[in-house]
Amino acid sequence: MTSLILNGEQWTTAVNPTTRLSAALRESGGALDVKEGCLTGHCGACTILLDGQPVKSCLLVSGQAEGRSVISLKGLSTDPVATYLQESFSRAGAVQCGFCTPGMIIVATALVKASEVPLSRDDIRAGLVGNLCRCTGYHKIVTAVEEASYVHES
Amino acid sequence: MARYQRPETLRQALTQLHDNPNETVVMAGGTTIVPFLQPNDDETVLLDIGRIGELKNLICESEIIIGSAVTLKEFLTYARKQENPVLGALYEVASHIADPTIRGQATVGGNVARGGELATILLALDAEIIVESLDGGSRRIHLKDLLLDPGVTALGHPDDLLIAIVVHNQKYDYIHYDKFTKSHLASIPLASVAVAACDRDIRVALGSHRLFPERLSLVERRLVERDLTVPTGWGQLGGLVDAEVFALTDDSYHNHIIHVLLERALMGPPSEVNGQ
Repeated sequence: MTSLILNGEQWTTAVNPTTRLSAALRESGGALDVKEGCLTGHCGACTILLDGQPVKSCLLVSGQAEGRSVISLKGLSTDPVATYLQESFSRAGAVQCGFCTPGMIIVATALVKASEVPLSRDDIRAGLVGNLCRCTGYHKIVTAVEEASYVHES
Repeated sequence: MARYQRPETLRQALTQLHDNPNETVVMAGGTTIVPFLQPNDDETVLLDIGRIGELKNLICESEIIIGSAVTLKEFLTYARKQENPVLGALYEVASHIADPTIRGQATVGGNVARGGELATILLALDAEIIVESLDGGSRRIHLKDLLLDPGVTALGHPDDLLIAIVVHNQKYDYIHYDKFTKSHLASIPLASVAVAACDRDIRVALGSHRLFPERLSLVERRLVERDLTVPTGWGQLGGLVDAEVFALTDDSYHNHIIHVLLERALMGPPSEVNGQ
């Protein structure tokens, strides 16, 4: 048994504690916004917030999350920064197939919140280096995060 | 599937390792273990040491002690505040390992244990590791003596657990680390080079070319009387580098990369002194 707080609510699952956290969240927790891509930690599609820090859930076993707070994109639905990022991604054309978007927005939200000044494009590229997008070419994603960062700081 | 245990104390972890040394796989961050878990493996016991407080030490006194379960992110946060040149050099290396999300999970101990980038610079800094087991107690081993052969280590007990990494907090005349990667700076390097010089004691370590980094002892001996802060000709030293590196790996592409990295490290401009 593994028990954790998923998107603010207590959640207990009977999956083996050595099951990948990404698989447990999708198959047992119904968190289909957690995407499984490469399963090697390269693509970042499975990124979640673990105790507030972005981590790749395919590189964790579910036992490692025992007693901790796990937030997927769905859990950020009322977060003002994530909501603004959702809109700026849409405006900038930063979403095409959408597979990478949950992980991108999770990391971008943490990035924008952690910075006390508006992020430069280099800062954003360095912060998103662990998230791959095969559609947009990144330029529009960086633009969307840059806009959200500027609005957040001002 | 594998079984999972998460001890709360070091004693519990050592006991589990002592009781099942061959079936137990130790993990803390899990970033290099989890991708290789097999669903039909019923024998392996995953021993998660990631939350053991005794393995989370970060001390900067006459020795720098880094607990094996300290994540790269925790280490970076600590090192940034210390204004210590040795920690500064380690910070530069750690800040370019993998990406920020992985640095939040991966641990210093994990990186060293698998011969990662930190192991290369720690080898040049002549670091030691502290290991402990129920039968053998706590011992120190020089990192350079850890790997005897691929897959053979100087750990005397099958239940030895890596507790911490220890670096002497001393003044260095020169610390340099460089790597060559295929794509961006955060990807796994094809080759890396670390050089540390202190009181005419010069250590050169080569990493990422084989399973575990190693020192270039012939080159080190030739360098003993050289002042690395004064640029001089490459000449004979380059030939010696090639001879020693060619004995380690016969891949000409790798050898060329290593040659260039070493030339840059040993002939570098004075501005690179102290890892600046």
